[in-house]
Amino acid sequence: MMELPTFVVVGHVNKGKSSVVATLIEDPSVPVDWTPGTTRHTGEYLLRHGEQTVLRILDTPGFQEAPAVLEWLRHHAANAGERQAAVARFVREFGDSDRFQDEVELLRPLVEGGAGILYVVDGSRPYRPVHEAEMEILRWTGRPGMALVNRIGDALHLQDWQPVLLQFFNAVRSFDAHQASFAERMEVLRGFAAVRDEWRPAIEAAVASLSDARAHTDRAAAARIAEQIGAMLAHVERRRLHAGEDPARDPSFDEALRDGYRQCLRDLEAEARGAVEALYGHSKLERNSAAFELLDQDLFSETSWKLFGLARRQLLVHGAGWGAALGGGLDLMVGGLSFGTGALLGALGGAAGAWWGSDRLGRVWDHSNRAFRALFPGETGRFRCFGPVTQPAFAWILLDRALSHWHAVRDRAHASKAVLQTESGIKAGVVSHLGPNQRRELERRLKELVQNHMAAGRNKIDALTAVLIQTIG
Amino acid sequence: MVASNPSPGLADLMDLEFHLLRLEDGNEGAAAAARTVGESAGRDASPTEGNTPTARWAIASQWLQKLRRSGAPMPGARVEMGLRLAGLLLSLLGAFLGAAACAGALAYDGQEPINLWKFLGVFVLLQVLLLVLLLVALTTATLRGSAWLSLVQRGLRAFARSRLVDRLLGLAPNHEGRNPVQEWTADSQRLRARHALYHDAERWLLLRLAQRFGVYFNLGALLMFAGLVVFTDLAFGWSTTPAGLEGDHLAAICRGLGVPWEWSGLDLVPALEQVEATRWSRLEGAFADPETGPAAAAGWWPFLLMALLVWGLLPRLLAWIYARRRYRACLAQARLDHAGFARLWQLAAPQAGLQWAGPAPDEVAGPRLAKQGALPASVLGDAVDVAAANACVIVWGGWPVDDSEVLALLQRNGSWSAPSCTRAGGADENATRTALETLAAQTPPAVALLVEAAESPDKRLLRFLREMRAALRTETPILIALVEPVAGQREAVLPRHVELWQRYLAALNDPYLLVEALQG
Repeated sequence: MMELPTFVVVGHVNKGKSSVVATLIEDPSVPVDWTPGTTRHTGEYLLRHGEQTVLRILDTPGFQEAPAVLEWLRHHAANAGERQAAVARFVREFGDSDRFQDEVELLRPLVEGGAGILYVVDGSRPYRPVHEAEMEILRWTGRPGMALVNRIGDALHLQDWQPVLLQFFNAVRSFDAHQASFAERMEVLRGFAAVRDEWRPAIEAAVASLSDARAHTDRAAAARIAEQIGAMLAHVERRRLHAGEDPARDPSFDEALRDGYRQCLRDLEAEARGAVEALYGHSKLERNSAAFELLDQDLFSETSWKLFGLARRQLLVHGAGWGAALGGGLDLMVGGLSFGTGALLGALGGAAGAWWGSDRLGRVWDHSNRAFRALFPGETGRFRCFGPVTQPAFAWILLDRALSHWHAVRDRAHASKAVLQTESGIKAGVVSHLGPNQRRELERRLKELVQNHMAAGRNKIDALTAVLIQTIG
Repeated sequence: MVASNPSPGLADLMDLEFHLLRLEDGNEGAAAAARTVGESAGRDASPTEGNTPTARWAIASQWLQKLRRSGAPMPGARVEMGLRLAGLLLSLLGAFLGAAACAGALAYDGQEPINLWKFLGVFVLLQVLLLVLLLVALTTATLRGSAWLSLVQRGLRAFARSRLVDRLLGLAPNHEGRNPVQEWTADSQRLRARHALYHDAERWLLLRLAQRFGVYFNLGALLMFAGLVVFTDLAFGWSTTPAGLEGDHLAAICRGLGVPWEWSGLDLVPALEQVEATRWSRLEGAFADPETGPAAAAGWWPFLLMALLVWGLLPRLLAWIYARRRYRACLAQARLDHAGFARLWQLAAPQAGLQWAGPAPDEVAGPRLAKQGALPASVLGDAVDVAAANACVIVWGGWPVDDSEVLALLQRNGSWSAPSCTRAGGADENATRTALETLAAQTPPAVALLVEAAESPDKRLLRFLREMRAALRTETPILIALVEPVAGQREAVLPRHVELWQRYLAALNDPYLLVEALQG
């Protein structure tokens, strides 16, 4: 039976070992702190496929007394043939004492099992000869290993570290535990295969399965975003008019109606964001107020539209496109006898509407409206409503906000405790970076949703989901 | 792993969505039930078991069962009961209206025969027209998402939310002003996001209800027709103005309508002679053929009964069955793959996918450094500078630095001076021991230990400081001087590094120990 691929994550204390583990296994609950000694006991993290374990990672407390340990080992091993036994003896002798507690904890799995080593160093700090004691001890265990230069902070001393690390380990990789994308994480896991050839098939199979699971999560997130956009576009806020209430005399009624509408949209958006974060294993994320909450306030302002690359000029293009399509339909109805006049007038009208009406999302209507009475035949009382969204461009804003959040969450490392930031801050939206084909396809799907907001069927949501998956891909 | 129902019903799906929202909210009861399902499923499932709709429903079904047993609210059953009640009311209403319409169309006072056109118009031609419209709707994309059905849907949904329905279902606000529905669906805003998932099922549900109404309408009409035929005498006739419809036209219409049962061999389609004989002249107040007319007028009922059965009842019945089947198929085909469900899947089906499992944070984490109470209140004060004239300076950690540079740095940051520097804490444990021995022999008035601020303090340093204190007098000042030497450049020490060192060294409880940052 093949030995289970096992890696013991070791290194000096407070150099980001747990951060590396948290990011590799995508679990923000792995204890990570900026103070030393956060990990007191070895944590065993198993990648399981049903009842079967396919990969094992052990997060250990860091080296704190490496030179003293090495000195002890040297006293107990006269030659290279005795070194492994000396390490085993060290673990036995100090197993029950407080002295060298951390070293015993981290060396035990290397002595007892056939584990590989993942040695983590802080790439933001230069190499010091004092680190050599740690690497020498690890070499004495006789276990194969890989070194990971953790890019903490801005400075990087990879050049200092690499020649030294290559003397002790089979492979050296650079990794930022706080910013590593999914692809980089998988690259590190693939790198484990270089440690022992017989582990290669199991590790590659695990990486492939993790990638499949990731694709599944992406699909679920895309579906959730599409649902959210559909629900937000279709939302109608309705309030009863009680006896004596007259919106014509009391403008605050409509203002309250609009506020309720906006609040509901914000709630829907917040709910979807929470769901997307949960999908990627980021529960209870702290969101950047500048990037998200501030924009929440401005969700309905022209400023936020511009921030997402939807300046009024673009809104005008959208409006003209819609108007032209509508007018073109009239041209078709008269068999082309109007020579495209309908399309021309429609484009002009649509553009004008977008230019002057870009801040008007929907409209207020009430029980006196005949069409809407037909919509609500069971409603016998007096009421006023706001919504659904009538501005197609607004769908783009919703989409862009959702995509920005999605990008930020999807690429977030699980070791990161920083507040959630969008990829591009609030300077420009994600949609502004999309290619023309993707924009066109999205435009089509969003149009369908806005036009059929009263019947945004599953197929339309699915169609938008499919385009979103292509977008993120 | 076997689910109680092979596929989800409406109540199941409503309960599922209701509790998925609870799960998203972090409801511990819902999460615990999901984990229990996962644990029991783990014993049965093989690792290769896929994430299929059947497997997903099996998980969801078990989860709902556990929640139901734990007494969690299940709004689905109540809504389903409401729908059943609505169906029953529609049936009664349909039967009543059908019977009333039939009684109206067959009103006969013995003076003038019943006008055939009225009956055929209401119960055959109108129904055929409606059937054609329905077929058009079913065979084109109209049914899927365009306005008219959506209007009906919205209207019915609004009606379902009306106070009248609430009262009928006993869901109207109680005396305390609390509405049970509102209590259940405090998350109604959020449930809207899921509406699109079951939109198609909703369409077929509406169509099913409408067809059920139609079936009972025709049944009511049929019963009334049969009752009137059996218990009263009916005479049928038809009229037209000159140059209007002639007898051969009506006979052709009757032959057309009778095609579906022509194969039966029964002579139930009126012949041209019967049609001509029952032509009624209101001006003369008599049939066109006064001799055979009255007998022929009574002979129309088998044809009309068959027309009602075949063109009224039968299509509605087929449409009802079809809508029922489609509705059930829509529910059964619920994919259960949306984001809300993914959370349940992660909790309840860890055995089916690839999952990382690890210890709880408390099992591996040590005690955190206290945020308060850094170093004890230092009693050094100005005494440090006074005493530091012949200090012992130790460079900790083996970082490469010249003695002159260290001494200059100390002087720039105070009035410390020392004849030379000692090295400790490097790769050579022997050197560290020698430094301690020297210190013990010299007993200097003060000690300055230079460390790299960005390097983390560790147990080795703590041990060294303890041993050093043991070798010195209790009140000998020890200065932990933090510097930031990166690539030969002196950089400003970060405040968080100072805080970290202070918090860590607080464990020594040494009032003569001071942590300070030395700036370039």
